Amino acid sequence: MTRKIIHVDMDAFYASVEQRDDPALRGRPVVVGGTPDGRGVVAAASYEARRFGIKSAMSASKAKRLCPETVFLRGDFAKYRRVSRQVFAIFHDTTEMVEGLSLDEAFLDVTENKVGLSTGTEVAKIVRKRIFEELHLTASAGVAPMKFVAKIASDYRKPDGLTVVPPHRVLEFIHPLPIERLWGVGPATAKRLHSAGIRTVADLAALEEHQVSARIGQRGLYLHRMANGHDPRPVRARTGRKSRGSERTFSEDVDDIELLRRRMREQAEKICDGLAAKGEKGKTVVIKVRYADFTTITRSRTLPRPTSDGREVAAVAVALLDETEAGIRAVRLIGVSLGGFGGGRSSHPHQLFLPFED
Amino acid sequence: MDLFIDRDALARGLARVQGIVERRGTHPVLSHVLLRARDGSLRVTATDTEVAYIGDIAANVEKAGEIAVDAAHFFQVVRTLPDATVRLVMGAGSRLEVTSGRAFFRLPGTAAEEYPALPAFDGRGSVTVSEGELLRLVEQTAFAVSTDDSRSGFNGADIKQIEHVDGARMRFIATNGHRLAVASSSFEGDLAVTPRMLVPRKALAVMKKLLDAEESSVELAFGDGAMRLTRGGETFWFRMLDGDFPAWEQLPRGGKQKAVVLKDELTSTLRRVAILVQDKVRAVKFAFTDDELQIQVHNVDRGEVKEALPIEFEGEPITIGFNVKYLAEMVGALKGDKVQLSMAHPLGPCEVSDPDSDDAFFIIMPMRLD
Repeated sequence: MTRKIIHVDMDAFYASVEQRDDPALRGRPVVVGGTPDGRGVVAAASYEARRFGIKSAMSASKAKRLCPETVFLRGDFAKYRRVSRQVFAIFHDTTEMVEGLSLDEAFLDVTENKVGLSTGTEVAKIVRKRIFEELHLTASAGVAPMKFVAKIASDYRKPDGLTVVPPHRVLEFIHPLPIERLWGVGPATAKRLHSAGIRTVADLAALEEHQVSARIGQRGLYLHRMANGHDPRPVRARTGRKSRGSERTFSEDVDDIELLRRRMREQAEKICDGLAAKGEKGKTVVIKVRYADFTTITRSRTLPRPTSDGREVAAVAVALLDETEAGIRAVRLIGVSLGGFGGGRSSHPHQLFLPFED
Repeated sequence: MDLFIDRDALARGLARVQGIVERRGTHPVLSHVLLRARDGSLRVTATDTEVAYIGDIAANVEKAGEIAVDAAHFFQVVRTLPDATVRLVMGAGSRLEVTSGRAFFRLPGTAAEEYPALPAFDGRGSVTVSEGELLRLVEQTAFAVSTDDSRSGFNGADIKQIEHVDGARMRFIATNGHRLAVASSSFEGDLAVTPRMLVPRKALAVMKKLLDAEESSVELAFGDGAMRLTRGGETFWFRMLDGDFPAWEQLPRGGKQKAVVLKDELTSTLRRVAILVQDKVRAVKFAFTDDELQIQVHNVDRGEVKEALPIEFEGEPITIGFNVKYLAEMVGALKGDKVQLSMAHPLGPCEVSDPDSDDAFFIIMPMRLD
């Protein structure tokens, strides 16, 4: 059955909430995050600020250089969480199947929905309308039969945009995109793809499977399927905590791969001890590596079944570490987390609602 | 007031009002029953302002009069009186004197003027229906009414006239958002539609308790925000709910997968399975294949149960999760000896019905199991 998936992404969420609540900030470049005097970074930038080239994760001092008139705010995260709960309440009025990605972003599977509308487009319109009318904020939404396309689509006409990609338009929509736009293609994978002559999604889609695995490995097969418009991942409604993790910043940068492996193993075992104590299991191992120059990468792998076995998770974490440039480049921080709970006691079935017309 | 009355007839009348009066309400007088003697009968009136009961009991009235007394208290007294005949006299200071054989009680009462006046009832039309059939309509829908007050349309059974191949029928329908119950029966008369046709939960409970599976007919009349039920010398008045019943007509009713199972077998299986199901979630996995329904529960704390039931099945094998309590209530409400489950897909509505009757059907939404 064709699914109807909406990706909703609030426009410049933190900054928009501040502008909403303080009329003096409206129309001005606003940055929420660190102050320009310290080492802080930009957590969110209003669209006025973005016009000057200010982006999230940029250092606040650079933002200040780009636009000296920028208003810098520390941010009130308790307030953002409150507003986020209001946004998610609107999502949950629409469907049971809400997968939150962060405070300001979620996937909604509206194949079955509580508002009784037959098209994802109509549901997305209602969600956007309610967010605007009830919370005085704007959101952009993408509607598509699969997750990664919905996510690309929500970004297509930002801010305050709605982009619908019907099933028969999926390939037409994704093929011209640069390969970096595919979900999961970070700078490292992109480099590998580029060197194999693959620049657009269409380039990847045109290859045969065996060519893909030969040139970019197993991971490439997954990307190849996406490039051909296949993304079977369901929208996963989550309850409770999403993951459990641990990070460690070294007092001095480390380039000894053996030491890094050992630390990675210790951390994996530590989080598994915690999970096992609670009878919980996870199936997605994510590692994080921050190099000496502060560039940060993550790698993840999903296990065939949930586990809380420290040795199993440690082995995966170390294997993921070996796929990075850790050891070749000096490392400042490593982290590992286990997510995708649901196989343990925390999974629970839930009752669906009758799809009434009203 | 001074009268002689049959003890058992009085006890029966008082038994009726026990489920209606307010036990711990804000108005003490609502826990009272109003007794009014005149013209050869004692009229018993009880109300909580949502439901009212008026019953006339034959009595030898020497002197007319009225008084209100605590309903539960008076009922206890009457049941235990030694003699078959009871004399009721209004004494000084709003006291009711009860004499029967050797026993003499003097009970504190309240002046009748302090008892709330029942609202005037302006019936727009009335219908007659067999008492047993009305009881069936209530039994087949009351269980599906929501017990939380989040949405008023879910807190009562909606009454409507529908056309059926054998003539007009009166239809009751109720839902709590997860399951829906529909039952209909033929009737005679004019079912005038008033703006409020939602019978509240309490009224359904009262009807379920006080109606008998008799063939004799009862009369229902509908008026301004209220419904009146008349049976012999008894009248019930029910305030109807404000609220819109959800638009349910477009709901898909089952699908290509159809299973027929013997009701008694399914009932006893569900009862066994329910033992292991957690109190809150109640999810049970039902796997339908060509000739067998496999029901399986695995509960970390309570153990596991497996059971296979023979079924007649058409369609593709399907595995679907249900709240076992919801399903058991539906199966229990069906009157035939077979149950049909009709499903389109594991996350879509399932219709539960009697393959040999269209008097009632139910729709249940599955549970997502993973």
